[in-house]
Amino acid sequence: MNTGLSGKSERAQPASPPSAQADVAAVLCEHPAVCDAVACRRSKPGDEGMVAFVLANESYLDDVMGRKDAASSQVRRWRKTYDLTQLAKTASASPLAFNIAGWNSSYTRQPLAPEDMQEWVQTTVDRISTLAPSEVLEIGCGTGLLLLRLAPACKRYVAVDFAPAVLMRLREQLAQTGDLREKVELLERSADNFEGLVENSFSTVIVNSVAQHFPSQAYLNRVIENAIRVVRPGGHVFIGDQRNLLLLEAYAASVEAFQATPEVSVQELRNRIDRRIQQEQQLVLSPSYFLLLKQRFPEISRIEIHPRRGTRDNEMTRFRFDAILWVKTESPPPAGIPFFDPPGEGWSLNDMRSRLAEQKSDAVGFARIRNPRVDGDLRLLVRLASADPQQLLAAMREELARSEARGIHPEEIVRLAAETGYNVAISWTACYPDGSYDAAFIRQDSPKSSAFPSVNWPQPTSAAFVYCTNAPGQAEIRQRLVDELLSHCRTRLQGKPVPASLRLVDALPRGADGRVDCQALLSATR
Amino acid sequence: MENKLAIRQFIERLLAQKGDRQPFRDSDSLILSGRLQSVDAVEVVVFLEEQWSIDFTQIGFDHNQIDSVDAILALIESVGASK
Repeated sequence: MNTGLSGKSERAQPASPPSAQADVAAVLCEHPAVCDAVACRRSKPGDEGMVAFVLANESYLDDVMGRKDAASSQVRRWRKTYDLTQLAKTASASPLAFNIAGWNSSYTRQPLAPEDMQEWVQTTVDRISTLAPSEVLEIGCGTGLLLLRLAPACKRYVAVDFAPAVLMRLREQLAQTGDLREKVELLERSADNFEGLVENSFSTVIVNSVAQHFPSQAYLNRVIENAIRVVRPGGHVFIGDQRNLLLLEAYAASVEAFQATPEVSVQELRNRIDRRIQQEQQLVLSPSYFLLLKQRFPEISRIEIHPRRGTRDNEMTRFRFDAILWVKTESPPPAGIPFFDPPGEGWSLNDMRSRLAEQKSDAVGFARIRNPRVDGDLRLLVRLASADPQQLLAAMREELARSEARGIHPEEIVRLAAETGYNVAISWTACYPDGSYDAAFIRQDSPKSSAFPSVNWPQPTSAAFVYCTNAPGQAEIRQRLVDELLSHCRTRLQGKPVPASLRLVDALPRGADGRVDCQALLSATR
Repeated sequence: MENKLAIRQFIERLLAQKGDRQPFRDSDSLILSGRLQSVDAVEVVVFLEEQWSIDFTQIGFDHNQIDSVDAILALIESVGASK
């Protein structure tokens, strides 16, 4: 059994603690960089070292370790990146309301197909429109792909962007739109600058496809804290088009395998995938990040996590999701929908159709539906893990091409619901590591039915909360902190056991008994 | 010659920061090939703005303009820039 002793939580103190772990946790918590810490002992034969897990003090990382300076520099680079996109000829020649300069595919490094972007824009606008926005604050409005479609139905639309060349293009477009100019206000500023924006003054804050350019989780936390402040009771914060951390490895494998030539070996491909993950420059979030927000901000009444809509096959539909936060809203309690686990071979559309036909109550849920959008990428990862390192990618590609994608496409689920008289909601709340999703079918004539029904979604395991985001561009700073904390342990615990390794985590999940769940921490750590 | 050396040294440093110490020819694609990402391209742009006073707001911007050492040299020459 793994035991976990947190250094700062009284609830976590057991009756008779194993002293070595308790000593380590207590010593770590003396350090100003540490908010809380726990030491766990691996109990696998042959791997019995102690691992320390630390919740770092974000202010210490920012101010003492120099992360704030690095973050400012990162924001400046992104600003310049976006400004440069608007200096291209394609930007000035764009049709009204469809300036997609700078939207490039990670696979081809070429501009995304206009059809992909049209679907991306339309599905986003549809989802936000369902929230009935009237007074909108959009953070990171870019060239107005959403603004120019949403603003006509709004009373007021405040749009923020940090890139002056981008806003210049948007102003040019607004000049052609007549009455929109009267209700749209453009502000050139960074995303975390809420100066002059009044509390409770917006129905909806939109942060779409922007948070990946934030330099750290702490920065995103600040933006969300302020977004919640300016949203009035009953309003929403829409954080859309977020890259899913749970699928980061699948994404990296997918892109690297696409770009590799056939003579690349398995070992070389593995190296490239690892390098891509290590050098990731964007903030990538697990859905669990949003679920944890509810503990941090009691104003959040409800959270929904939806995979992206769309039939096009691209990196947005495969790897991204939308998170919607309901702020200070009196929501009905979640409908007690029974969720069925999948049969051994996974759900099929026929299975689901039969269940729906037999269904007596007005709602039913299907858990863990395999996701064909990413099935090929996950198969590739599995195959890479066991393949001969010298095998060539060409042979593996042939092998993988022979297998069909398993699972049910989310858009097929939507069609099935429409055919059978149901509305359906699809969720990534459960944080399945393979991109599987849950679906709740509610009869169209049921009082529970709505555009965003309140559903008792299956919940993630504790391990899903251990790592909620990556830390782009912070590898060196975080390694320095780890070294400093291990050195602190060695100095303060002379002659006593010290941890063999130390991990910076986003949460120290606890079991029902209040003790930190070491099993979850160890299982989430590779 | 001096320009080429300065550009090569800058790009070598940029690649090394990413752990890429593979050699590159003057004609090799750096951005469109993926060895440098769009955020790295910003570093190249800032370098050209600072060292040769190239004003991209005047001439427009395209990744092809800075995709290789040869392309960068041609850009410097085409705008008549000097250090």
